[in-house]
Formats: sequence, C-alpha cells, structure tokens
Amino acid sequence: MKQTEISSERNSSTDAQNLEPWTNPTVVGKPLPRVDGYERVSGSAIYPADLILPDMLHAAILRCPHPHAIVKNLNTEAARKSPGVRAIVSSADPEGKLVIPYPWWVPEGPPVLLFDQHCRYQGEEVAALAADTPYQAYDALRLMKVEYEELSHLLHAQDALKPGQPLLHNTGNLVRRPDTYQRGDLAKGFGEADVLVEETYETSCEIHATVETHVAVARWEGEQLTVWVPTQAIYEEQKSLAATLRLPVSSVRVISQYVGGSFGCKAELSKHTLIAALLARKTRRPVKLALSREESFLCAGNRPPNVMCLKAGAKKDGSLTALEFTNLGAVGAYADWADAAGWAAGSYACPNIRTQDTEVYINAGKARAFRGPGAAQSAWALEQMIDMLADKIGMDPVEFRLKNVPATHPRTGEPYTSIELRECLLKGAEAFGWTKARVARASSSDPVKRGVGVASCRWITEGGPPTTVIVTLFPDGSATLNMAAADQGTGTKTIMAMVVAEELGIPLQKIHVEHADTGTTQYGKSGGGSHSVMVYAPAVRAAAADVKRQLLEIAAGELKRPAIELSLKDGKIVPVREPGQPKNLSELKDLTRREQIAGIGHPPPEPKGRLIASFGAQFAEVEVNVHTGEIRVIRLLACHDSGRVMNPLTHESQIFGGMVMGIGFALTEQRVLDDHQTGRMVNANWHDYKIPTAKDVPFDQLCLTIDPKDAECNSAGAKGVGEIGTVPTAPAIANAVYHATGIRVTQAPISPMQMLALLAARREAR
Amino acid sequence: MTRNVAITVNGTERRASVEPRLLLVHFLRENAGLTGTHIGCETSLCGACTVLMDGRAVKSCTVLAVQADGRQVTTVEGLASGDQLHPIQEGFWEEHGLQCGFCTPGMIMCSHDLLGHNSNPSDGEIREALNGNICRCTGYQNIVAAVKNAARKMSKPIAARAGAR
Amino acid sequence: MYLRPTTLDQAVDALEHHRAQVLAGGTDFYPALGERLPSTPVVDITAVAELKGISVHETFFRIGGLTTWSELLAAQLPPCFDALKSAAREIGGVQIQNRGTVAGNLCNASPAADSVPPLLALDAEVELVSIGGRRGVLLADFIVGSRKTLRRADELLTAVIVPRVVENARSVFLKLGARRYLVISIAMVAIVLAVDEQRRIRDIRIAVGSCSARAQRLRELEQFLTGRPAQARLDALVMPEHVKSLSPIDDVRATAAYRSDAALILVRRALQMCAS
Repeated sequence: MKQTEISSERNSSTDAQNLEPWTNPTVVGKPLPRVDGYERVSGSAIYPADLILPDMLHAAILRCPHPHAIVKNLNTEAARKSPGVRAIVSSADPEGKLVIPYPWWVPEGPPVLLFDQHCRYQGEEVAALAADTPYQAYDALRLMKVEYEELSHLLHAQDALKPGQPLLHNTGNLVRRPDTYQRGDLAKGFGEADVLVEETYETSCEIHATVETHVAVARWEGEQLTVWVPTQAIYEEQKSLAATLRLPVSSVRVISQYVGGSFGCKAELSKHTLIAALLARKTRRPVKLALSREESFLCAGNRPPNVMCLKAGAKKDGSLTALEFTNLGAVGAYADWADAAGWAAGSYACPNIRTQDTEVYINAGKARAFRGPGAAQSAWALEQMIDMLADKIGMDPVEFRLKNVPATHPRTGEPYTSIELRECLLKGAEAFGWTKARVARASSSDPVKRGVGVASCRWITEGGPPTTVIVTLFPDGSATLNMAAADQGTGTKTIMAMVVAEELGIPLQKIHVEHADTGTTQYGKSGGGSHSVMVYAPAVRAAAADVKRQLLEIAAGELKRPAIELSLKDGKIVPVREPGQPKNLSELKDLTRREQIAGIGHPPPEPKGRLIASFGAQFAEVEVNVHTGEIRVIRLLACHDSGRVMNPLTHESQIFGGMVMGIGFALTEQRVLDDHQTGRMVNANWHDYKIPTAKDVPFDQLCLTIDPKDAECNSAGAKGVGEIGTVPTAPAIANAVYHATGIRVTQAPISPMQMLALLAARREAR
Repeated sequence: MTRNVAITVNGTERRASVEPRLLLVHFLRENAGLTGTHIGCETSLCGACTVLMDGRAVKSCTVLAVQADGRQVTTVEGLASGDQLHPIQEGFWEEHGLQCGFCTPGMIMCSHDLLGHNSNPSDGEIREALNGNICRCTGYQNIVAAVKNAARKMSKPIAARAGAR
Repeated sequence: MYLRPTTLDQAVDALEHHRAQVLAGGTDFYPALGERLPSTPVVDITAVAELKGISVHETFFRIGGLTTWSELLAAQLPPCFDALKSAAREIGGVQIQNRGTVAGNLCNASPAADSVPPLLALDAEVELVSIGGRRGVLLADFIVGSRKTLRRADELLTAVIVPRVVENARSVFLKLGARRYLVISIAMVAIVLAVDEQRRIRDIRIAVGSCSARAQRLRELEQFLTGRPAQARLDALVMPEHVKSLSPIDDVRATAAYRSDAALILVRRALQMCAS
C-alpha cells in the first residue's frame, strides 16, 4: 500500500481547477492503443476470479428454485458433514438477518434480508457454504434439504395492481408513488394537432450478460476485511459492506483491479459479496465465490421490462403539439427503477406533455442500472412514435426530428453547454445516403425487403465533485496516477494516462495507473452514468497541473529563470527561449532530494445554470425476409456529439459495442418466464438467451463524430459516451423494419415469429 | 477416485492426480495456475475458455482434464516468446480488438486456429471462425480488424516484422 | 468410475461389464453433467484409434464414429455430402466442431441435432458393436424419439455407413434460428437430389429436423416429386399438406405454427437451390 506524502509546498490547487480545454493537444484525441493492453492480450491481467490466495476456500450458494415460496424447513446437517465443507451460513445464523442497503440511487425500498425465508424470486439466496474445492462445495450444496411452501406468483407488471394477485411485500406491489410530470395543456395540444397517433409499446427484460460473471474474494486480517470484486464502484461497495457488517469504513478495503464488463450490473453491493465475507470470517480463511452463468441470469440484475402507452399529436409542418406517455415497469422483487416516460419529456421541443411512470414488483430477479437505463426503453417507444407521426403527415423522419430539436432542455428550460443533435442528424444522413436509401425499395416479388430507419438520442451527464486523484512524478520522469475509477473495459485508465501525458509532456509508457482500490486511492465517484471522463479527466488534469506547477517552481529556482519561461516537453524542462538546451528532471537537485512531487486534483463544480448532455443519431438498414420473418441488420451508422473525443479508438469501440447491444435488444434478447406453470426463467443460458455473435452483426458499421468544442462542460471539453451508443439503435432498426415492410412492430424483440405473425395478420386483413 | 494425468501445457509437462469430472479449464486455472484462460459459461457456448489442444481450438470447459492426458495444450500464456507478443496478441492490442478483455484470450486462441489454416481470411471467414466466441463489449468490429492485422503480420517474414517495429 | 480404453475390444468389454455412459467429444456430456460427479461409470472412447477416420469402399463410405466435424469438413467428399458439410459448419463454433463427433451427435439424439437430416437424406446406416458382435441399423430407425435411440447400453456406435448411390447428387442444408450462429435450430431441412439425363428427378430425399421428436423424411413429397423435371419453379409444387406429417412443438425457441411455416419455406428454398 502506498503512502502518499502531500507536499507542504503545495499552496492551493484552485488555479489548476480553472483550466480551459486544450486547444492543440498532442496526446489527447489520438487513436492510442490501451495502456493496459498488454495485460489483457497476454493473459496476465488478474481478474478477481483469477485470484488464488493461500488456503483459499470456495463457496457456493443454495438458491430457491421457485419464483415465490416460503422456506418451511432447512436441514444442513448432511451438507455440514460432506467432505471438505468448512462453514455454512443460512437463515439459522444471526448473520442471515443482515440487511443489505440499497445503493444511493435507490432512495428506499423494502428491507433486503440476506437470507429471507420468504423467497420472492427464482434464485433467491437460501444458504451458502464454503469448502476446500469448488466441486466439494457443489456436492455439499446438493445435500442440503429444503422444504418449500410454494406460493402463487406474479410475473407481469400488468397484473401487479389487480385485486387478488399475490403481494410481494406488506407494503403492496407498488414500488413508489407514480412519478408524474406535466407541462402545458395536453388537451389544448391535442386539439391543435393535425394528426394524432396512439400506440402501446413493450420492451422485454434484457440481461447484462457480461462475459465475466459476478465474483467476490474475501479475506480477513484480524478485524480488517479485504474484498476483491469486479466493480464499477469501490467506494459504494465499501460503504455498504461496512454498514451491513457494522464495521468502521476504514476496516473494509475493496479492490477492483480488472472488470470483465459491467454495463451497470456491477455497481452495488451484491449478496454473494457479503456471503463471501461472512464465510471468510467464520473460517478465518480467504473465500472465493464465483456465480455461474445461470445464477448471473437469475439474480445479477437486468433491464426491466416496460409497457408504454403513448399518444402524440403534430401539425402538418412537423411541429409536435402534445405528447402523453404512460409507462408501467416491473423492477423485479425488490426496489429499483423501471422508469421510461420521464425521459421523453426532455427529448424534443413539445409544449404540452404529460408523463407518468409507475413501477411495480414482480416475482423475478431485481433490475439494476443497465446502459442507458430508462432511456433505451423510452427511445424504443418515442422514436417509433416520431416515425409514425412523420409518416402520417408525409414528412421525412430526419426532417421531422430536425423540426423538433430543442434549443434548451425542454423540461427545465436550462441551456445545454453544447448541443449538436441537428448536426448529428444532418451529417449522419448525408454519410448514410439517407435520401437515396429512403426511396429505393426492393421489387415486390423478392421475399427479401430492404428498409432504412433513423433514431436520435440524448444522455444527460454529470461530472463534478466529490472526487480526489493524485498524480506523482518521480525524478526519472515517470509518473503514477492514483484514482478510484475502475476500468470496466471502456479505456478509462488509458484516457486518464493520456491526460497526464498531455499535461506533463511525458511519454505514455512512463505513466503507471494504479488499480481502483479503496486502500490506496482517495474517494472518487463510481464509474457509471457515462461520467467517468467528465469526472476524472478534469480531476486528473488538475492533479497533473498541480505537479507541473510545483515542478516548474523547482526548476525556476535552479535554473534562475521565471517559471513562466519554462515548459515541459518529452520529459524534460525546456526553457522557452533556449529550446535547444533541455534539462533532464534528474538534474534537478531539489526534485531528487524530494524524491517525488505529488499533485492533487478535484473536478471543478459543474457549470451553473447549464446542462451537459451528449447527443447522437443512428441510421440502420435492414433486410426482412417476408417468408420466414428473419431480419438482418446489414448496415449501421452512428453520428454522435460526445464533446471532445478523448481517444477515437475507445470512443468508436463504445459506439460499436452499444449498437451491437442494441441489435440484441431489438431482435433477440429477452428473459422468458414460464407463464403457464412454474414461473421460472426458461432461458437462463446463452443457448436460448441470444446475444449477437460476430455473424449476427453488420460488417458495415461506421461511427462519425461532431466535436462541439465545448469550453463550458469541463476542462477536458468531453461529455459522456458509455450509455448513449445503445439508446437509439433498437428503434432505428424497428423504424427500418417498418420502412421495409410497412409493419410497425411495437414489441421488442422483433423475433422472426412475431414478424411472420404480423405479416400473416396483414395478409388476412387484406 | 482420482486418476493420474500428464498434460503438456505450453511446453511443460504437468503431472497431477485429478478427479475424472475435473474440466480442463479448471485444471489449467487451479492446478497449473494459468488464469489467462477464462470461464464465461461452462456450457460450451461463450468461448472464453478456448485453448489449443494438439494445435486445434477447443473449449476447455467441454474437455475433461483426463481427456487431455498425453496431449499438448497451449493457453494464451504460451503464445508470446519472452517479451515478444505473438502477432495475434499484438493485433488485438493495436487494433483495439478488446474492451474489458475477458473474452480476449479465447478470441486470440480461436484466431490462432483460423490463421493456422487460412493465412489471409476475409471478413466473412473471420466472423465465421469466431462465431463460437461471444463478446459483449466491442461489437466485434475491431476484433475482425485485429485478426486481419495479425494475418498481415504473420504473412511477412519474421525478420521484416522485427525491422518494422 | 472412469475408464479410457485404447482398443475397440477393450471399449465394448468395458460397456459389457459396467452400465456406463460413453464419453466422446464431450461437447454435450459436460454441459448436461454440470459440476456433478457422473452418476454412472464413464467409458471415454477418445483414445480408440479404430473409431477415427473416413474411408471409401466399393459400395459405401464409412465415417468412423469418432470423426470430428472439423475432420469431416476437411475430407474430400462428393457433392452428395455438401448438405452434411453445411450442417457440420453449424454445429457450435469451430471449437465444438474440433471436438464434437459424428457418433456423439447421433447418440445424443437431440431433435435439433444438425447432422441428422443430412444423414437421413443420405440413407445412412449406423454400425453398432457389442461384445456379441456387429449390427447395422438404418439411421431412420435408430433414432426413435427425442434423445432416444436403439443403441443398447452395451453397444458402441462405431461408424456411419453411407451407400454410394447418389454420389454426384446435389445436396443442400438449410437451418433457421433467431440468431444466425450458435443456434439451436427452430427448423432445418436437408435435401439430396439426383437427376437423370433428361434432368428429371431420379432420386430425391427430403429430411426435416427440429419439427418433430425426431428428424424425419417427407416420403410422400419425395414420391410426388420423383420423375418430375428439375426445373426452376420446383418450389411452387410444395404445398402445406406435404409437411403435415411433421409434429412440431411450442417451446422457448419457437411456436409450433411458426415451425410448420418455416419448414415449408425451407423445403421450398432448398428445393429451389438443388434444382437451379
């Protein structure tokens, strides 16, 4: 563990907080490969699942097979005697009643007991044990005897508030009071409209399905707990663990060295992490607990399913006059968010709006934040609705959207620091060949119909404090960056190292970025909400600027020149007037004597009275086989305004990955619960829960960007890109399917079966 | 009941007494301590656990360790020679054919199988070859670019490659 | 108990004396087993060299039971095997093709097994060996239902025999699934079509998988088409009643109605490809 000595010579870092965005960066903005690429391609990256600690035990969890049941009796005797078993924890232990706190973004909900005898979802934790080997743990698990009383179950949001349905919690099935927003006069707006459309849209429950499942390794040293988890949020997990175990926060250390994908499902304390900690405490040995793929399908989060009823009106000139958007979402068995309608209120300039989000419990695994939470579902409905309106007045869908691009945030009236949605639509349409593609249609005899569609998107991001990072410079010209941000795979470490390199003029190879670790870093916001770059780039830049200021002061003293006449280049001090005589850092005696310079950085507060949001437009081309219902996405083009692109490689990869996830959301992904009998998930595996493979995605994918040169959003000029890439893809595909076939598919995913049934229904109607 | 096996992993023979149900992937990770081979599903689908057995790509979650007795197994750790990464590893790094990196070792090993019998694959052939490997982050676009990058490098004589670096 | 014989004699001897599960490529074995200990003894036949390889004989081809799909794909085989090769490419990904065996796919007898329709269309026969001797059974008879075959517990499927009757016939395999690859299919069709000098259909075999408990031939349609000219609009002759013998089920992957529709469309499409 590193002790960082903070220089007493540091007076204030305030001036470093007010940096203007770079005008001519030499490192930032370049397509540089990942700084942690070696570890990831060589197999030397140690993910938590890869940890092998001396004397380590392996744990496994007994889970309720029913969606709704009471544990009447649990007998663990045979399991206890099974070979290799070292400890068991269940509802019979006092720890079984521990209550796991909700993450900060879920303000309240019914208490989540570690082992609740009332099991509310398939896969709910009933007991757990630790054994010498994983196989011994599984063997012993099968020896546990449980008597369940099965209760009738509730699977659909539409049923949750009807009388006679099972109640999940004694507070009822309603998660919170419905959230309603209203502006203008809806009736007046509908009255002014030349055309009105009404439609109900549904999205399916989508599973994060990161290739790495959830894992925790726990070890106690005395009263000090260390937990290795792949997490986006080391400090959130630390705080929750400490609260649950009634430990001082300083007694819990959370390390997230590598994360094998997250998309929001690894940002809060999970039961398995607490279980690993409890079993490690009981046995005084390290414990590893890795969830299976099936477990991760059942109880590691999901994008909740939504039923969305919309009514909208527009004038013939394309201006929206009114929108009513009512959403019903199912969060699963415990509190979370399943909102969608509220998002729509901020999307387009529309004077008369009413939105309502109602969230209910069902007997299924709880939702978690999932890439563009709420926004992706909302876009599925709203972006198709916009197309329907455009169609009805005979206007091009791109033109219709351009008509309704807001000047300010439609809900709050606040201006954006930058908004290039208009440019995204125009540049994207041009590059896609939209106008031509929109006209071209396959001949009527060909069963394969082609079509193109568009959708736009917006994602509000928030940077700002509290977050602290430290940059340390050594006399040999190498530097360490110490920050709480875990690299979920998005390239955060690379981008932040690039910021240090930019500011200090030292090569990327000489910068080491430490892992996210509460034991060695200072508090920092979690990676999520697309704000990693917005929070950390300004903080890292401020810390590096702080180092630079101190370094130049030292150099000024030794070189007898004002600091303002010195610059840093290629790891050397360069006098501005005599660039031919650079000085190595190691020649600075004061620096050598001090051993290092540490600079501290914080992100400056958010600009007042301004909102920061990323925008984008995506275009899809599809082929629909009207004989089989098969749909192929043959082309995708994205044009995004994410502020400054810090690294085109990582930016583009975020968009490609987001779009491909959107293909899954649009066409194949869906949690299927057995409606008829058991209420269980019937596709909790990758054979039947179908995420796109390399052959399911178009060869032709392109990502264009617009840099608004945003000087207001933060000192990096960058906005977020993590979530937005997946938000418009699915509705763009659905709009393309409509263009190809004339059939509006409102229910995601558009399976070949659904497509064929809709085609058949149309034939019959004719 | 256990059984003695001798499996040559990355050129080193490893002997162990294993249960017949032990999967090769667990043997590699737990017994040999080679954790670059990842586990994503244990149901033969995701391909994160891909290794080479006698030169051909297999999913090490569907091979029992006892079945690998006497065979040559290569894992991602066995590709580099010293500090010099294998061209496929370089390709994935340079073209950003990865994000979280969890599927990457499996992608690399499967690409190795492909380039072993097709030195200049088309986009379609690469996608066909990698269809048994799931990636949730990248959208596959840069993975295809990475394999092409590697194919280009591997088609050049070694001396020329070294000079170019 | 785990046994790893190295000769066929040892293997059948082991099966005679233990009620054992046979383990070959293991691509179905492990996912079904999970982390459990096998409940029965296991006879791992992967070390039995006699079961590997493809050979050509005067009247038949012999595909060793342990032949992997990758080996089959690499083999030089006449056009009537094109459908089987297409099916082989659909089995899992490359890694599964490198491990999975012909015998395993047949003995596992999944209704969605990719290799079954093309082998049915080739009139394949399986060779079963026990300590008591060797017998041949038509594949059409061998698979009796979903995951049920005529293989006795003491028998090993040693080879698949394909008669050299329609060697130069065209053959096509088509499969439908929600995702293009790594698909457990919703419906699949294999057709082998041989013509005479006048380009009339001399011999046609049409097999459909995933649409009944076991894959089956559409014999009535075959008879109906035999003797007709193999011309462009052959597909138009296929009517819904021609696939009525199928009995698809509703499951998580597709509804029965969709499967019937899909089977019909695939048959038409495959016919078109064979005839053109």
